[in-house]
Amino acid sequence: MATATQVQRRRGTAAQVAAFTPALGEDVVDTSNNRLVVGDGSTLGGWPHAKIGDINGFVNKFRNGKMDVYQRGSSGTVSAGTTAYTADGWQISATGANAAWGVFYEAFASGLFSLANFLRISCASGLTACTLQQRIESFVASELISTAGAQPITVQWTILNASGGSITPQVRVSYATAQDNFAAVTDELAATNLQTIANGILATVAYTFQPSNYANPQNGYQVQLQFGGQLNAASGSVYVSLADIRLTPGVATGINNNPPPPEQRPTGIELPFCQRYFVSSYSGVAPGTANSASRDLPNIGSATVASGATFWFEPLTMRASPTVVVYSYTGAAGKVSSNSGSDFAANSAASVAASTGVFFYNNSGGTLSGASSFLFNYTASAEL
Amino acid sequence: MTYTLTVRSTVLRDSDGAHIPADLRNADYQAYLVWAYGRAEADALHDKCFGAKGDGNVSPSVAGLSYVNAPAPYVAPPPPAPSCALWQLQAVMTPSQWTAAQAAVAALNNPAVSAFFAHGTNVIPADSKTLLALGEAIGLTADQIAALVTEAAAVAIP
Repeated sequence: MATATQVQRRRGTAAQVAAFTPALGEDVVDTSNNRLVVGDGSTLGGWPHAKIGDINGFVNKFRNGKMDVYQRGSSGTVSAGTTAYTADGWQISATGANAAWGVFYEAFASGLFSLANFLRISCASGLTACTLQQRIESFVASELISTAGAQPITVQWTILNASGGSITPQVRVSYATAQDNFAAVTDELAATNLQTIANGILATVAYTFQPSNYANPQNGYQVQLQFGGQLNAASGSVYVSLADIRLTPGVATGINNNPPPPEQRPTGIELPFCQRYFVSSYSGVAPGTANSASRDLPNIGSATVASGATFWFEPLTMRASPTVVVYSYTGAAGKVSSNSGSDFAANSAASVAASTGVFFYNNSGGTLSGASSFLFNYTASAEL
Repeated sequence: MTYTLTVRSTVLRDSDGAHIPADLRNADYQAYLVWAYGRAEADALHDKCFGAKGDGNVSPSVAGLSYVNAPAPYVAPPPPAPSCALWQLQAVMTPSQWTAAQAAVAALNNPAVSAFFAHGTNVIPADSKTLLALGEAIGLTADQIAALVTEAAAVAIP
């Protein structure tokens, strides 16, 4: 190194760089994060470059960020006053009126171009509040904890506003006060306005926030995209996709007009991730749909709880022992059908679940006669 | 929201027939514990498992805890109606009853029913609407039909 020449670039702390616009072709050094930042002469804060440690996959801690997995069916309705799962991982809360949803593969070219599955939420008269949210498991959310202490986290969605008017959605982030128990949550980021989207425009909304304590994500995060009463209309809808939440060290907090490109994982990767939380024998058809292709459960005719059969989730292991609902061939919950398709009595079959599989057994109190096997479907939910 | 106990450790959610396993990581079981034993007891169970010195037992015993809301006790559903093969039924009916039953089948003028009764190995449950209608035609009540079928089900060829 004796003949080397020491070269130093213009440099500053993360905050200083964030408030500075590097010239076209200029590289400056973010001394807080030991990161090069390239300028284009017009972008405030420039374009930060990844370090070796930043280059990896699975940086997006949302599951099903591009709405590719919808094991509960491709459409449905969330009743007023309830919160229910829609596309995998995503819950909708509806207040004042029902909220209809559906998954659509769309090519939008208004504002920016995107080709992806979108979750559509329909406007409805009287829909005074509507929220889309995801709960992120503790083991996943804890990956938002940086070894360097609390670091900024950026969350984003891409939205097509077809509501008929301008909208300004809000983001709210909370953490569970006990591990994976969201009965009580504490706000990390209170409901905060995102960017405004004009009617007919496809746009990305993003926000960067700083956890108040680096350990907050360890019990699990609840991330909400709130539309408030902006979907209270007789017609129209919004389309949401390309959700992403990740650590973004060095990025300035507040509304982020230049978020990183969302990580979009292949469906073949996303599906087993989603099945850690929910498994359905319906294969994409809404649970309870009559006359769906059913599982065939043999030899539970005798009247003992020891008589049954186990369906393994292999190669999957769910997050926890799941809640199981059995459906008959005709779609009735809590029943099984004979192999001719007629229902037995309510609660005629029951189940005991573990994270690796479900054991179904004869719960009729007697011999289920007239059938050599039984038809049924099931859902297994270990959702948060 | 109400719940019913089962013969196993799972709890039945009455609203949708869901079977909820006794697993503290399951959100539905967390909700059940709060409903049944109250928030403080539910939190204590959670802490005992997941707390700083937690034992990691996700299925702790709830014996000895007092209910805030008591789940309904387990009640087995009524057993399915007994059934028997037609040849067994013939074996326990009097010849005149069987002859009358055959005539009633013919009177129905239903090819499917006639075909079914033409094969003695076909199995029929006591609550079959067709069997009840035939019984009524020859003067047997539903209870008498059930008694006949139960008796017939025990008939075996020596």
